[in-house]
Amino acid sequence: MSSEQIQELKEEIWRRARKRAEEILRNADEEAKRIIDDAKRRAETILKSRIEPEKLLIRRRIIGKAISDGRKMVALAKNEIVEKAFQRALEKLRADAQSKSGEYTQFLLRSLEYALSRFSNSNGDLLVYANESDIELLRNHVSKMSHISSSKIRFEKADIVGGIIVSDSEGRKIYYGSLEGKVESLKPLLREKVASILFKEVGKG
Amino acid sequence: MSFSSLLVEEKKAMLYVQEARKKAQEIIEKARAEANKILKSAIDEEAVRKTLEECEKEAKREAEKILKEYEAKAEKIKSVRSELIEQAAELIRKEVLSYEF
Repeated sequence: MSSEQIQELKEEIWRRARKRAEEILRNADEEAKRIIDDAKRRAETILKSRIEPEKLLIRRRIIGKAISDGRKMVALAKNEIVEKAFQRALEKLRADAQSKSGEYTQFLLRSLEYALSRFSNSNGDLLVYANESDIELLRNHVSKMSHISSSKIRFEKADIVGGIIVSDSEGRKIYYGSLEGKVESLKPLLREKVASILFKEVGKG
Repeated sequence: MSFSSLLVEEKKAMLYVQEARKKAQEIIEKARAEANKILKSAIDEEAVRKTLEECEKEAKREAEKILKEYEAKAEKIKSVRSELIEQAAELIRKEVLSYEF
């Protein structure tokens, strides 16, 4: 064998050895990556089954409370403003009652007629409680009502904004028709209409 | 050069490959150790506690943001224009005075 042939053989031996070594290391790298990826997947599965339900509970508790508190806050704010509107309405009604506006006078007399009709079966005297400034107006109106005996009706002043409260002499049957009472009784019916005026610019929620 | 020098070279090459095998084994052992560490962290109580603590902190941050949004909405509601309050009050006034008994 010539020395050139031997040299060629040596190179071939090394070429094969290097190829093999590279292959071994490449396989090892691939296997290492597979081992780590597999461990990561398993760890993720373990964590998911252990932690995720607890995480969900924590989030529900904390975020759920924030949403509930927030909604309460918004509801209270809306309530505050709706109440402000009702208070303002009562102020306006007080002004109506004091000035004896046409609308108020009509309301007062209609209220009186309605109340007296409800007491039409009562035999005894009736007590009509009203704002001091309304009593004269009410007395005059009763005197004009042909079917009512004005002697059976007594007027008493009461500390109310307007309207009337009527009671039989024994106080067993009472009709509440004060202005403030009317506002309160209409509140549940008007609340939605009022809110739609007040919050049309805020939007729903 | 002789035939025996070829044998020596063959041996050296074999050692070279053996060295690569040793290195490969080390790579795999290192990966197994790393994998064990990863799996341990998944079942480690302390790690779980820390993860849950982190989750709680994040939820609190989110909750604070949500509350701020609601606060802003509540503030916007409270700053309603006075004309609207007047308009609503007028509606109530009219409804009361025009009430049909």
